[in-house]
Amino acid sequence: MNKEEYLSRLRDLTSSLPVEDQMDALYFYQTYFEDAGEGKEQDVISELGSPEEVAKKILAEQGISSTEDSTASANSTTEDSTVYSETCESTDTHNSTGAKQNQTNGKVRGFFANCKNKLDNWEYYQTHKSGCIILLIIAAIFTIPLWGGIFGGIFGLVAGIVGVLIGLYAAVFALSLSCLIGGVACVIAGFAVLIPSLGVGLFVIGIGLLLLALSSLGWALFGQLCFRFAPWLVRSFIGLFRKSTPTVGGASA
Amino acid sequence: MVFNTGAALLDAIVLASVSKEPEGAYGYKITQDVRDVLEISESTLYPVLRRLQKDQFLETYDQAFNGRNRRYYRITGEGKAKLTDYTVAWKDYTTKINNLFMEGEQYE
Repeated sequence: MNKEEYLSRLRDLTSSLPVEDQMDALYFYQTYFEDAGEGKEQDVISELGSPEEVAKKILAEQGISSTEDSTASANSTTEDSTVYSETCESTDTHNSTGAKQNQTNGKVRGFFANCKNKLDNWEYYQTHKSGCIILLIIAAIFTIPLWGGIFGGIFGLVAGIVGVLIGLYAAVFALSLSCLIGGVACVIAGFAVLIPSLGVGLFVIGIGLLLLALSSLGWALFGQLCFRFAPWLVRSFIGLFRKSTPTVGGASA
Repeated sequence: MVFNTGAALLDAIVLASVSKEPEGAYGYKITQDVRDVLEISESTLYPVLRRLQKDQFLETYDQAFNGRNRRYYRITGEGKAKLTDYTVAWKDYTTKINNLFMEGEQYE
Protein backbone atom coordinates (compact mmCIF):
# COMPACT_ATOMS: atom_id res chain seq x y z
CA MET A 1 0.00 0.00 0.00
CA ASN A 2 1.38 3.43 -0.79
CA LYS A 3 0.61 6.77 0.78
CA GLU A 4 -2.23 7.63 -1.62
CA GLU A 5 -3.94 4.29 -1.11
CA TYR A 6 -3.49 4.58 2.65
CA LEU A 7 -5.00 8.06 2.81
CA SER A 8 -7.79 7.09 0.43
CA ARG A 9 -8.66 4.11 2.61
CA LEU A 10 -8.55 6.33 5.69
CA ARG A 11 -10.91 8.76 4.00
CA ASP A 12 -13.40 5.98 3.33
CA LEU A 13 -13.22 4.74 6.90
CA THR A 14 -13.85 8.18 8.39
CA SER A 15 -16.72 9.11 6.11
CA SER A 16 -19.19 8.79 8.97
CA LEU A 17 -17.60 11.75 10.72
CA PRO A 18 -18.76 15.34 10.34
CA VAL A 19 -16.99 16.79 7.32
CA GLU A 20 -14.91 19.23 9.33
CA ASP A 21 -13.56 16.53 11.63
CA GLN A 22 -12.87 14.18 8.77
CA MET A 23 -11.01 16.83 6.81
CA ASP A 24 -8.99 17.80 9.85
CA ALA A 25 -7.93 14.19 10.43
CA LEU A 26 -7.01 13.59 6.81
CA TYR A 27 -5.09 16.83 6.67
CA PHE A 28 -3.16 15.82 9.77
CA TYR A 29 -2.08 12.49 8.32
CA GLN A 30 -1.44 13.90 4.87
CA THR A 31 1.05 16.40 6.28
CA TYR A 32 2.34 13.71 8.64
CA PHE A 33 3.53 11.71 5.65
CA GLU A 34 5.05 14.80 4.09
CA ASP A 35 6.87 15.81 7.28
CA ALA A 36 8.30 12.31 7.66
CA GLY A 37 10.21 12.95 4.49
CA GLU A 38 10.71 11.42 1.10
CA GLY A 39 11.08 7.67 0.98
CA LYS A 40 9.73 7.22 4.48
CA GLU A 41 6.24 6.23 3.38
CA GLN A 42 6.47 2.57 4.32
CA ASP A 43 8.12 3.37 7.65
CA VAL A 44 5.27 5.70 8.51
CA ILE A 45 2.66 3.17 7.42
CA SER A 46 4.16 0.42 9.53
CA GLU A 47 4.44 2.71 12.55
CA LEU A 48 0.97 4.15 12.23
CA GLY A 49 -0.62 0.76 11.82
CA SER A 50 -3.41 -0.12 9.44
CA PRO A 51 -5.88 2.55 8.25
CA GLU A 52 -8.53 0.60 10.14
CA GLU A 53 -6.70 1.03 13.44
CA VAL A 54 -6.09 4.72 12.83
CA ALA A 55 -9.71 5.31 11.85
CA LYS A 56 -10.94 3.40 14.87
CA LYS A 57 -9.01 5.69 17.19
CA ILE A 58 -10.26 8.80 15.45
CA LEU A 59 -13.88 7.64 15.67
CA ALA A 60 -13.45 6.61 19.31
CA GLU A 61 -12.15 10.05 20.22
CA GLN A 62 -15.04 11.59 18.31
CA GLY A 63 -17.49 9.60 20.42
CA ILE A 64 -15.86 10.69 23.63
CA SER A 65 -15.71 14.38 22.85
CA SER A 66 -19.33 14.46 21.69
CA THR A 67 -20.51 13.69 25.23
CA GLU A 68 -19.98 16.08 28.12
CA ASP A 69 -17.67 13.65 29.86
CA SER A 70 -14.38 14.92 28.51
CA THR A 71 -13.31 16.24 31.90
CA ALA A 72 -14.40 13.02 33.58
CA SER A 73 -12.39 10.95 31.15
CA ALA A 74 -9.38 13.20 31.64
CA ASN A 75 -9.49 12.61 35.38
CA SER A 76 -9.57 8.86 35.06
CA THR A 77 -6.19 7.23 35.27
CA THR A 78 -7.07 3.81 33.98
CA GLU A 79 -8.70 4.45 30.64
CA ASP A 80 -7.42 5.16 27.19
CA SER A 81 -9.17 5.19 23.87
CA THR A 82 -8.89 1.45 23.23
CA VAL A 83 -10.32 0.66 26.66
CA TYR A 84 -13.33 2.85 25.85
CA SER A 85 -14.19 0.63 22.92
CA GLU A 86 -13.79 -2.55 24.97
CA THR A 87 -16.05 -1.41 27.80
CA CYS A 88 -18.63 -0.20 25.33
CA GLU A 89 -18.78 -3.52 23.51
CA SER A 90 -18.78 -5.77 26.56
CA THR A 91 -21.33 -3.90 28.64
CA ASP A 92 -23.56 -2.60 25.90
CA THR A 93 -25.14 -6.02 25.42
CA HIS A 94 -28.60 -4.60 25.10
CA ASN A 95 -27.86 -2.31 22.23
CA SER A 96 -25.00 -3.62 20.13
CA THR A 97 -25.85 -5.03 16.77
CA GLY A 98 -22.87 -6.38 14.87
CA ALA A 99 -20.72 -3.50 16.00
CA LYS A 100 -17.43 -5.12 14.95
CA GLN A 101 -18.53 -5.50 11.34
CA ASN A 102 -19.74 -1.93 11.32
CA GLN A 103 -16.34 -0.73 12.42
CA THR A 104 -14.39 -2.45 9.72
CA ASN A 105 -16.84 -1.27 7.10
CA GLY A 106 -16.31 2.23 8.33
CA LYS A 107 -20.06 2.72 8.56
CA VAL A 108 -19.95 3.63 12.22
CA ARG A 109 -22.32 6.54 12.40
CA GLY A 110 -20.86 7.93 15.61
CA PHE A 111 -21.06 4.43 17.03
CA PHE A 112 -19.07 5.27 20.11
CA ALA A 113 -21.15 8.38 20.66
CA ASN A 114 -24.37 6.36 20.50
CA CYS A 115 -22.79 3.62 22.57
CA LYS A 116 -21.90 5.90 25.43
CA ASN A 117 -25.21 7.80 25.33
CA LYS A 118 -27.27 4.63 25.25
CA LEU A 119 -25.21 3.23 28.10
CA ASP A 120 -25.93 6.36 30.16
CA ASN A 121 -29.67 6.19 29.41
CA TRP A 122 -29.88 2.47 30.09
CA GLU A 123 -28.07 2.78 33.42
CA TYR A 124 -30.22 5.74 34.40
CA TYR A 125 -33.37 3.86 33.56
CA GLN A 126 -32.20 0.77 35.45
CA THR A 127 -31.44 2.68 38.60
CA HIS A 128 -34.55 4.82 38.42
CA LYS A 129 -37.05 2.26 37.17
CA SER A 130 -39.19 2.03 40.29
CA GLY A 131 -39.17 5.79 40.65
CA CYS A 132 -40.36 6.18 37.10
CA ILE A 133 -43.23 3.75 37.63
CA ILE A 134 -44.39 5.52 40.78
CA LEU A 135 -44.31 8.84 38.97
CA LEU A 136 -46.41 7.35 36.17
CA ILE A 137 -49.01 6.07 38.62
CA ILE A 138 -49.27 9.43 40.39
CA ALA A 139 -49.61 11.21 37.07
CA ALA A 140 -52.35 8.81 36.04
CA ILE A 141 -54.29 9.44 39.24
CA PHE A 142 -54.07 13.20 38.87
CA THR A 143 -55.23 13.15 35.30
CA ILE A 144 -58.32 11.00 35.95
CA PRO A 145 -60.69 13.84 35.00
CA LEU A 146 -58.87 14.15 31.70
CA TRP A 147 -58.72 10.60 30.51
CA GLY A 148 -61.97 9.72 32.27
CA GLY A 149 -63.69 12.37 30.19
CA ILE A 150 -61.93 11.20 27.04
CA PHE A 151 -62.99 7.60 27.56
CA GLY A 152 -66.54 8.69 28.38
CA GLY A 153 -66.68 10.68 25.19
CA ILE A 154 -65.33 7.83 23.12
CA PHE A 155 -67.81 5.45 24.70
CA GLY A 156 -70.68 7.82 23.98
CA LEU A 157 -69.57 8.13 20.39
CA VAL A 158 -69.39 4.39 19.91
CA ALA A 159 -72.78 3.90 21.56
CA GLY A 160 -74.22 6.56 19.29
CA ILE A 161 -72.87 4.88 16.19
CA VAL A 162 -74.23 1.53 17.30
CA GLY A 163 -77.60 3.14 17.95
CA VAL A 164 -77.67 4.64 14.47
CA LEU A 165 -76.84 1.29 12.93
CA ILE A 166 -79.58 -0.43 14.89
CA GLY A 167 -81.99 2.26 13.84
CA LEU A 168 -80.98 1.81 10.22
CA TYR A 169 -81.50 -1.90 10.28
CA ALA A 170 -84.82 -1.53 12.06
CA ALA A 171 -86.05 1.12 9.67
CA VAL A 172 -85.18 -0.86 6.57
CA PHE A 173 -86.77 -3.95 8.00
CA ALA A 174 -89.93 -2.17 9.06
CA LEU A 175 -90.21 -0.36 5.75
CA SER A 176 -89.81 -3.54 3.75
CA LEU A 177 -92.27 -5.42 5.90
CA SER A 178 -94.88 -2.73 5.79
CA CYS A 179 -94.55 -2.38 2.04
CA LEU A 180 -94.92 -6.10 1.71
CA ILE A 181 -98.02 -6.26 3.85
CA GLY A 182 -99.48 -3.18 2.25
CA GLY A 183 -98.71 -4.51 -1.19
CA VAL A 184 -100.36 -7.84 -0.58
CA ALA A 185 -103.36 -6.14 1.00
CA CYS A 186 -103.77 -3.79 -1.94
CA VAL A 187 -103.54 -6.54 -4.50
CA ILE A 188 -106.18 -8.58 -2.72
CA ALA A 189 -108.41 -5.55 -2.25
CA GLY A 190 -107.89 -4.57 -5.84
CA PHE A 191 -109.02 -7.97 -7.09
CA ALA A 192 -112.03 -7.70 -4.82
CA VAL A 193 -113.04 -4.32 -6.26
CA LEU A 194 -112.24 -5.44 -9.78
CA ILE A 195 -115.67 -6.91 -10.40
CA PRO A 196 -117.77 -3.91 -9.36
CA SER A 197 -115.35 -1.32 -10.77
CA LEU A 198 -112.66 -2.34 -13.22
CA GLY A 199 -110.81 0.97 -13.21
CA VAL A 200 -110.59 1.33 -9.49
CA GLY A 201 -109.69 -2.32 -9.13
CA LEU A 202 -106.83 -2.10 -11.62
CA PHE A 203 -105.63 1.08 -9.95
CA VAL A 204 -105.49 -0.52 -6.53
CA ILE A 205 -103.84 -3.63 -7.92
CA GLY A 206 -101.26 -1.36 -9.50
CA ILE A 207 -100.55 0.35 -6.22
CA GLY A 208 -100.29 -3.01 -4.55
CA LEU A 209 -97.75 -4.21 -7.10
CA LEU A 210 -95.77 -0.99 -6.63
CA LEU A 211 -95.71 -1.57 -2.91
CA LEU A 212 -94.59 -5.15 -3.47
CA ALA A 213 -91.78 -3.91 -5.69
CA LEU A 214 -90.72 -1.40 -3.05
CA SER A 215 -90.75 -4.09 -0.40
CA SER A 216 -88.57 -6.37 -2.48
CA LEU A 217 -86.10 -3.50 -2.90
CA GLY A 218 -86.21 -3.06 0.86
CA TRP A 219 -85.56 -6.73 1.45
CA ALA A 220 -82.68 -6.66 -0.95
CA LEU A 221 -81.22 -3.71 0.91
CA PHE A 222 -81.75 -5.43 4.19
CA GLY A 223 -80.03 -8.51 2.82
CA GLN A 224 -77.07 -6.40 1.76
CA LEU A 225 -76.90 -4.84 5.21
CA CYS A 226 -76.94 -8.19 6.90
CA PHE A 227 -74.67 -10.21 4.69
CA ARG A 228 -72.26 -7.68 3.22
CA PHE A 229 -72.19 -4.52 5.30
CA ALA A 230 -72.08 -6.13 8.73
CA PRO A 231 -69.20 -8.53 8.00
CA TRP A 232 -67.27 -5.68 6.37
CA LEU A 233 -67.83 -3.55 9.43
CA VAL A 234 -66.64 -6.29 11.73
CA ARG A 235 -63.57 -7.01 9.57
CA SER A 236 -62.43 -3.41 9.36
CA PHE A 237 -62.95 -2.98 13.08
CA ILE A 238 -60.72 -5.96 13.80
CA GLY A 239 -58.32 -4.71 11.14
CA LEU A 240 -57.80 -1.54 13.17
CA PHE A 241 -56.29 -3.67 15.91
CA ARG A 242 -54.44 -6.16 13.75
CA LYS A 243 -52.99 -3.47 11.47
CA SER A 244 -52.91 -5.95 8.63
CA THR A 245 -56.27 -7.32 7.52
CA PRO A 246 -56.16 -10.41 5.34
CA THR A 247 -58.50 -9.27 2.62
CA VAL A 248 -61.05 -11.72 1.41
CA GLY A 249 -62.81 -11.26 -1.90
CA GLY A 250 -61.75 -7.68 -2.34
CA ALA A 251 -63.33 -6.30 0.82
CA SER A 252 -60.58 -4.19 2.34
CA ALA A 253 -60.31 -1.83 5.31
CA MET B 1 5.99 -0.57 28.58
CA VAL B 2 5.41 -1.77 32.11
CA PHE B 3 2.75 0.71 33.18
CA ASN B 4 -0.36 1.63 31.24
CA THR B 5 -0.58 5.30 30.28
CA GLY B 6 -4.04 6.63 30.99
CA ALA B 7 -5.77 9.38 29.06
CA ALA B 8 -4.98 12.05 31.65
CA LEU B 9 -1.29 11.26 31.73
CA LEU B 10 -1.14 11.23 27.97
CA ASP B 11 -2.83 14.63 27.82
CA ALA B 12 -0.33 15.98 30.32
CA ILE B 13 2.65 14.64 28.41
CA VAL B 14 1.39 16.05 25.12
CA LEU B 15 0.70 19.45 26.69
CA ALA B 16 4.14 19.47 28.27
CA SER B 17 5.79 18.52 25.01
CA VAL B 18 3.96 21.21 23.03
CA SER B 19 4.61 23.84 25.67
CA LYS B 20 8.38 23.44 25.39
CA GLU B 21 8.29 25.78 22.39
CA PRO B 22 6.38 29.05 22.73
CA GLU B 23 5.41 28.96 19.06
CA GLY B 24 4.30 25.35 19.33
CA ALA B 25 5.09 22.39 17.10
CA TYR B 26 3.61 20.48 14.18
CA GLY B 27 1.97 17.07 14.35
CA TYR B 28 4.84 14.91 13.18
CA LYS B 29 7.33 16.56 15.51
CA ILE B 30 5.00 16.32 18.52
CA THR B 31 4.53 12.65 17.81
CA GLN B 32 8.26 11.99 17.64
CA ASP B 33 8.95 13.97 20.82
CA VAL B 34 6.28 12.11 22.76
CA ARG B 35 7.57 8.80 21.47
CA ASP B 36 10.97 9.65 22.89
CA VAL B 37 9.28 9.60 26.28
CA LEU B 38 6.56 6.96 25.89
CA GLU B 39 6.25 3.77 23.93
CA ILE B 40 2.93 4.44 22.27
CA SER B 41 1.60 3.87 18.80
CA GLU B 42 1.90 6.87 16.54
CA SER B 43 -1.78 6.68 15.70
CA THR B 44 -2.66 7.47 19.30
CA LEU B 45 -1.45 11.04 19.11
CA TYR B 46 -3.86 12.62 16.67
CA PRO B 47 -7.00 11.91 18.73
CA VAL B 48 -5.28 13.36 21.79
CA LEU B 49 -4.25 16.51 19.93
CA ARG B 50 -7.76 16.86 18.53
CA ARG B 51 -9.35 16.51 21.94
CA LEU B 52 -6.96 19.00 23.55
CA GLN B 53 -7.75 21.39 20.76
CA LYS B 54 -11.50 20.99 21.27
CA ASP B 55 -11.05 21.53 25.00
CA GLN B 56 -9.25 24.79 24.18
CA PHE B 57 -5.96 23.71 25.73
CA LEU B 58 -4.24 23.83 22.35
CA GLU B 59 -4.80 26.07 19.37
CA THR B 60 -3.72 25.59 15.79
CA TYR B 61 -2.32 27.85 13.15
CA ASP B 62 -0.99 27.22 9.67
CA GLN B 63 2.41 28.30 8.46
CA ALA B 64 4.02 27.85 5.09
CA PHE B 65 7.06 25.64 4.99
CA ASN B 66 8.95 24.70 1.85
CA GLY B 67 6.06 25.73 -0.32
CA ARG B 68 3.37 23.81 1.53
CA ASN B 69 1.25 24.44 4.58
CA ARG B 70 2.05 23.04 7.97
CA ARG B 71 -0.38 23.03 10.87
CA TYR B 72 1.16 23.98 14.18
CA TYR B 73 -0.24 23.26 17.62
CA ARG B 74 0.39 25.80 20.35
CA ILE B 75 -0.53 25.73 24.02
CA THR B 76 -3.14 28.24 25.22
CA GLY B 77 -3.48 30.04 28.54
CA GLU B 78 -6.01 27.48 29.68
CA GLY B 79 -3.68 24.75 28.47
CA LYS B 80 -0.88 26.10 30.61
CA ALA B 81 -3.16 26.20 33.63
CA LYS B 82 -4.26 22.64 32.97
CA LEU B 83 -0.65 21.55 32.61
CA THR B 84 0.14 23.08 35.97
CA ASP B 85 -2.74 21.14 37.52
CA TYR B 86 -1.37 17.98 35.98
CA THR B 87 2.20 18.56 37.15
CA VAL B 88 1.08 19.30 40.69
CA ALA B 89 -1.07 16.16 40.74
CA TRP B 90 1.79 14.17 39.25
CA LYS B 91 4.23 15.35 41.86
CA ASP B 92 1.86 14.34 44.63
CA TYR B 93 1.15 10.99 43.01
CA THR B 94 4.76 10.07 42.37
CA THR B 95 6.02 11.28 45.74
CA LYS B 96 3.66 8.97 47.57
CA ILE B 97 4.55 6.03 45.38
CA ASN B 98 8.26 6.74 45.61
CA ASN B 99 8.02 6.85 49.39
CA LEU B 100 6.24 3.53 49.39
CA PHE B 101 8.85 1.94 47.15
CA MET B 102 11.70 3.35 49.22
CA GLU B 103 10.19 2.01 52.43
CA GLY B 104 10.10 -1.37 50.82
CA GLU B 105 13.72 -1.10 49.72
CA GLN B 106 14.90 -0.37 53.25
CA TYR B 107 14.26 -3.92 54.29
CA GLU B 108 16.09 -5.61 51.42
